Formats: sequence, structure tokens, C-alpha cells
Amino acid sequence: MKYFQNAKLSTKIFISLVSGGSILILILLLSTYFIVRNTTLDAEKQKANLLLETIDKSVAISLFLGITPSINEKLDTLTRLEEVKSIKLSNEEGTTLYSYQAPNPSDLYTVSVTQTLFKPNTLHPIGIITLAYSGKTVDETMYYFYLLLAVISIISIVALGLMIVWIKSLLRPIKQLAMKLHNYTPGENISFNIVSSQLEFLDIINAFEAMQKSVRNYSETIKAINRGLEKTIIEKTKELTKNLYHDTLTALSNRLKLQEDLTFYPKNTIAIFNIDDFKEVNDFFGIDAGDDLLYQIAYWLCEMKLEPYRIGGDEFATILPRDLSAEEIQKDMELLLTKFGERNFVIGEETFHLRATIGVAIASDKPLIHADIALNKARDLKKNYAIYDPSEGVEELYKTNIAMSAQIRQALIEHRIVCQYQPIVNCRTGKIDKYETLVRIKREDGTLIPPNDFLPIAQKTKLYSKITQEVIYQACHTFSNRTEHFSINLSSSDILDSHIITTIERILNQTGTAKRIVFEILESEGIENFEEVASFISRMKDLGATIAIDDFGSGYSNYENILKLNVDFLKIDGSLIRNIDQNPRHRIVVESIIDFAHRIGIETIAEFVSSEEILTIVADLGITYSQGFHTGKPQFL
Amino acid sequence: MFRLLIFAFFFAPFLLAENSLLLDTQIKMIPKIMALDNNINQYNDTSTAMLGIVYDDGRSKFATSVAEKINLYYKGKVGSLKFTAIAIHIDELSARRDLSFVYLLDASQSSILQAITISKEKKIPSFVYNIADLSLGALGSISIERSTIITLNKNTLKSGNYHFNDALYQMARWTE
Repeated sequence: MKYFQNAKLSTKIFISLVSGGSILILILLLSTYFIVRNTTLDAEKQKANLLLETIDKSVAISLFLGITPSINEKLDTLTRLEEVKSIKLSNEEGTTLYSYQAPNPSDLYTVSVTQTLFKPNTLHPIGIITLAYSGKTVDETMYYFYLLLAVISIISIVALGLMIVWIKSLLRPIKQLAMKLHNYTPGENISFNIVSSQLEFLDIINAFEAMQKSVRNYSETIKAINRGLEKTIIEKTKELTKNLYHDTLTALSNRLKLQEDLTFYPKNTIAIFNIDDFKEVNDFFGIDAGDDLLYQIAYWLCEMKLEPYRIGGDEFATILPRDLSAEEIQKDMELLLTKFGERNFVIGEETFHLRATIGVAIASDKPLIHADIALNKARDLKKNYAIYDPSEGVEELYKTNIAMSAQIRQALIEHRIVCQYQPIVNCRTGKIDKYETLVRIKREDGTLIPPNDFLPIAQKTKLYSKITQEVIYQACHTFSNRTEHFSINLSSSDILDSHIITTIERILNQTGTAKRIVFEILESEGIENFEEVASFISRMKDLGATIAIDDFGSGYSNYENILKLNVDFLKIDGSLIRNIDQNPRHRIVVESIIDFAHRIGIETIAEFVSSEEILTIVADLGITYSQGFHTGKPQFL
Repeated sequence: MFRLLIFAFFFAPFLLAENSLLLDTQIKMIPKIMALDNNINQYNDTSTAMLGIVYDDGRSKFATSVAEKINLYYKGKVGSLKFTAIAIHIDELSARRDLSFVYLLDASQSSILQAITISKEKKIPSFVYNIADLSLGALGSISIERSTIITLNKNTLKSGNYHFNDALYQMARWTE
């Protein structure tokens, strides 16, 4: 069936005709066969009946009279006929009275007729006679029938062959049409010079010619549109390429162009030229003025024959000749900065002098990165320029930071952020009243990473808040089953993060630890973000929590702010406690802090209590709590 | 008693009188039946078959008239068979050797039986006027019902080894 569906049209037509014709011919032949055979057999039967009727009455009389010779005589006359193949006569008891069988009954068909013999002039049966008549005529008739059938079959096969040829010739125009259309492309003019007398094909060819004309017209239109589009695309491509490689403000080549130009040589020497305090110019005079200024700077750099690139907001770069030595470059940079400093730049009616910082990478395989590192170094050192020095290992530091950042992220996923708790001992009773929560990262081998190694990096990678939440969660759940107070350090980013504050409130409510928790805030944080910190303290105190100012005394301590923030503890900076037994000045400062605390009614905590001597001193000074390796190392609870 | 004997003497022949229609029918058909006898073929060209009209005492004239009537009607030939009908008294029957067929007119049973016995001995087919006499062993008789009926005695036919044309057999009614 699948083959028929996929077959050629000519094959389908042929198969359909052959199938239909065969069924029709088969029906006709079978009908004819049965009609001929039955008619012939009936004729022979009639003959046999006639034959029997010639003798049946006399035989019946002979049988009735019991005249056997007469019976034999009568029936023998029949046996002389070639067509009679057998005769059998039996009386009413079934006894065979006469039997004849022809010597060679070779006929395919024989007709057998039987008649009942009656007593003369009555309906009383007295015997049965059976006559088998030759079917020779039937055989002959059927032979001629089969002969005729064979002739018809041969003629049919020949006719089918001719039909195939005829169908193929009829459908040839379709094939020719398909071949002509096979490689047709829009706009091409195909000549359909196909000879066919069939009206249908002429209609198809006319339709294709009309379609071809229509396609040609459309093709011409599309070609015209395409030409216009191509032109537009070329122009746009040029424009985009220009925009891609050029800064629209200054018309200088941009960072991408610089990166591409740096690929011509494996190592390059470049300088990055950054305008100092340009943000303030923008903020003060507006962006338009800033842009104008940038244009003037770009123009000046071009005047200096530097072939500059604009690689950022206020950053320009230039590729320096590779044969220059470090000293020559240093000299050129100093000269360039001097000239830049002397140059007058104008905004409106105002004249400005600007300063710049330069970072240089010499013969570097990563010139942009290295020059940027040098630029940062120059800024950090408050110098006008710096040259990248691979021996300083800045790049390795970056790699370490990246690795640590990944490690922190992985530790958060694998729950390897853990907390240790350092005891805070009551100086008066000597008992542990509180613990300070200290965060660690547990390596896969079980060793611990101290907070100084990862917290600064976490603060710059936005992972710090997640660490804070983890610490609060662990500490609160740990102390929900204990009686001591416990403290947790918070940074300004934590306090400014409303999500963390909400989380803190939720965890405190869940664990019921609000009245025993102490939040430690750096003194400097309270000064820089006073309003936010005050608001946070107020919310936490509403819950029952207490607040400690950490590292108090390390900077320019502002007592007024402490008063306003309404804190509960002052944690005296460890740098003051560490050498209190040897440094009288530290002792004086500490005494001053203690006096202040006592006067406003808040308690104090001494950090870095590392010896019995220090412990004795802080206790004598009246510090409420002491914390350090001497009184207790950080531990897991 | 005497009167009775006188009556019998004068009227006895009249008591045996045949039905004229039946008689006519029989005398017209008897020669034809005789012609169907296969054993008479020997007379076809060279000889003349003899049809004996057998009568009993006192019926000579009547028998002769019957014979003449047959001869007159058939003019000595039925089909291809030449024949002559003659009247023969029962007593003469045994002496005759030229008879091919006998037709027994109505007679007493004893006479009929005698004639039948003789004809059987001589293998001569015998037809009787009165169908009732078939029971005495005659070969056949002709009667009239709705149509003319030929009745043959199967036993006589078989015992007498008579052979007639099948046509006769087919149209005949049979008795045993």
C-alpha cells in the first residue's frame, strides 16, 4: 500500500486499470465459464434423457414381464452408442439386472441421468435405470473455451503492454514539465515548448507560464529592494563598524579598537591616562560640561601625537613605542603630566587646570590589565604615575582573591561556614557570662580559614550578607538551648540591608534569644552611617537585644555619638589592651574610656587579654568583662 | 321342465349375443393386434396369416359374418401383413395348424376354456370377446370404458412365450 502511495502517477493509473480490468475480466470469464459449462452439460443431459426415454417404456414393460433377453437386447442397443459410458438397471428390490461399463471412460465430464421405471399404465415403480452419458462434447466445448481464454489472455497482456506505453506517452509532458521546473530559479525564463495535444497539459503549461511571469515580476521587484537594502546595509555596517571601534563623543578609537590593535604584537607597551577628580567636574558643572572637557582633553592628546584611545569615562590610553626604555618612558610621562598640568581647559567662560594619573605597562603580554594595576598603584600611593612591576605580585593577589571568592561561594553551598565562640569572662566573678561569635570557613580537609582571610573579599563580592545570615542563624540556634549571652559582629552593609534586619528579627523571634544577644558595631560604622545605625539599634532594643561598640578607642572616638546611640557596652580596642601592662599611655586612654563608661552607666569589655598580668590590670581598672586567649580561646559549642 | 328345455333350445343362441359396438370395436382392432405379433413376421410376403374367429355351437353364421366383416374391412391386409379371417368351430380348433391368431366369440365357459387350452398348446395368441374370460387363460381382450381398453394377461403372455410389439405392451392394461 505504501509502495502504491509513493508510486509514479503512470504506475498508479496502470495498476488501477489492470486491477479494475482484471476484476471485470475475471467476473466475465467466470460467468462465461459457468454458463458455457452448465449449458453444455444441460444439453448433454437432455440428450441422455432423450436416449433413456427411447427405451425406458419398453424396458419397463420387459422388466414388468420379466423378459430379460428383451431387456438386454434393448439396452445393448444403447451400449453401441459411443456416448453411452455406463448403464445400470436394477429392480425395485435393488437387484442389478443389467450393468454396462464402457471400456475406456476417458472423458473428463460425464452426465449421469436416472429414471424410475413404472409398471405399464400405472405409477407403481418397478425399477431404476441409470445412464452415464459421455461428456465429450463438454470436454470439446471447454477445450475451445480454454483456447479462447488463452488467446484473450495473450491479447490482454499485449494490450497491457501497449497501455503502459500509451500511459507513459500520455504523461510524458508532466515529466518534461517537472524536469524543466526542477532547477527553476525566480526570474528565470523557462520556455515550455512541450508537445502535447492534451487540453489538460496545455492548461497546466499556460498556468505555469502565467505563474512564471508573475514570479519574474516579483523577482525584479525583490531584486530592486535587495539592491536598496544592500546599499543601506553597507552604509549601516560602515557606521556600526565606526561606532564599534570609535568613541562617539571624542571620535577617538575606543577600548575595543585598542584591544584589537594590541593583538598585532605579543607584547605591548601602553599607558593609561586617567583624569583626577573628573567625577567632581561632572557633578559640579554637569555632564555636558564634562563631555566638552573630555573632548578638549582628547584633542590635546592628539596634539601631543599620542594617537590616543578613549577606553572609559575619563580614561585614555596610548600605545607607546616598544623600543623605549623604562627610564625614557618615565621621562616622557613626567613631561606629559607637566604639560597637561599647564594646559588651560575652558568650560564656558571658566579656565581650568586639570591633573591626571598615569599607569604604564612595559612590554607586557596583558598590557591593559597591567597598566590598570599600575594606575591603581599610583592612586594608592598618591603618585602621578606608576609603572607595572611584575615582582609585586598584584596579579597573583587578584587570582587569590578570585579563588577565595569561589571558595566562600562553595562553602556557603556546602554549609561549611561554621561558628566558634570565644568566652567573655566577668572580671569580678571570673565566670563566663558571654561568648563572642567568630565565623570560620571549614576547609574540605577539616582545617579552618580565619575570618581575616575571607571576610574582606566577601565584603567586595556581595557574599558578606549571606555569611552574616548564616552566622546569625547558627549562633541563635546554638544559644537557644543555653543560658549565656552571645554577641555577633555586624558591618555597616549588614545594618543598611533591610533584608538582613528582617531576617535577624525573624530568627530572634523563632529562637527566643533576643534578650541575650549583643550586636557588636564598629565605632567607625556608627560615625559614618549614624542615622541608619541609630534606627537599627532602636529596632533591636525594642526586641530586647543589647548593643556593643566594637574596637572603641581605635579611631577618633566620638563620645557624643555614643551617647546618642544609647549603647550598652564599649569593647575597648585590642591595640590598647594588648600592651597595657607596658605602655602607660594606653593605660591612660583606657582609664579615660572606663571613666566615661562608668559615668554614663554602661559596661566595658577588654579584648586581647592574653596574660594574667593584663587580666589583673583590666580588673583593677574596673573593666567589667575580659576577652582573650588568656581567659578563653574560640571554641565550638 | 319341458317348457324350459324348449325355451333354452330356441333362445340359447340369443342368450350369447354380443354387444354390437364392442364387437365392431374388437373386430376392427383384433387384426391390428395380430399384426403386432412379432412371430407373424414370417407371413409378411410369402404367406397369409390366418385369423381364426372361434365360435361355439349354433353360432356359425354369426362367426362367418364376423370373419367376412373383418376381411371386408381390411381387404386381406393390415399394414404389410396379409391375412384372412375365417370362422372356426371350437371343435375344429385342435385340428387346424394354419392359425396365427384366434378370436373367441362369446361362448360357454367350458368352450372358451377348451379353446384357450388348445390355442395355448399350439402357441397361438388368443383374444376373447368377454373380458371376464381372461381369467380362463386367454391372452387378451378388448373392452370399452371411457376409451377402448386392451387388456393383456401377463401370465399367459409369459407362459405362452408370445412376443408382441412394445407398442401394444405400452398401451395395454395388464392383468395376472
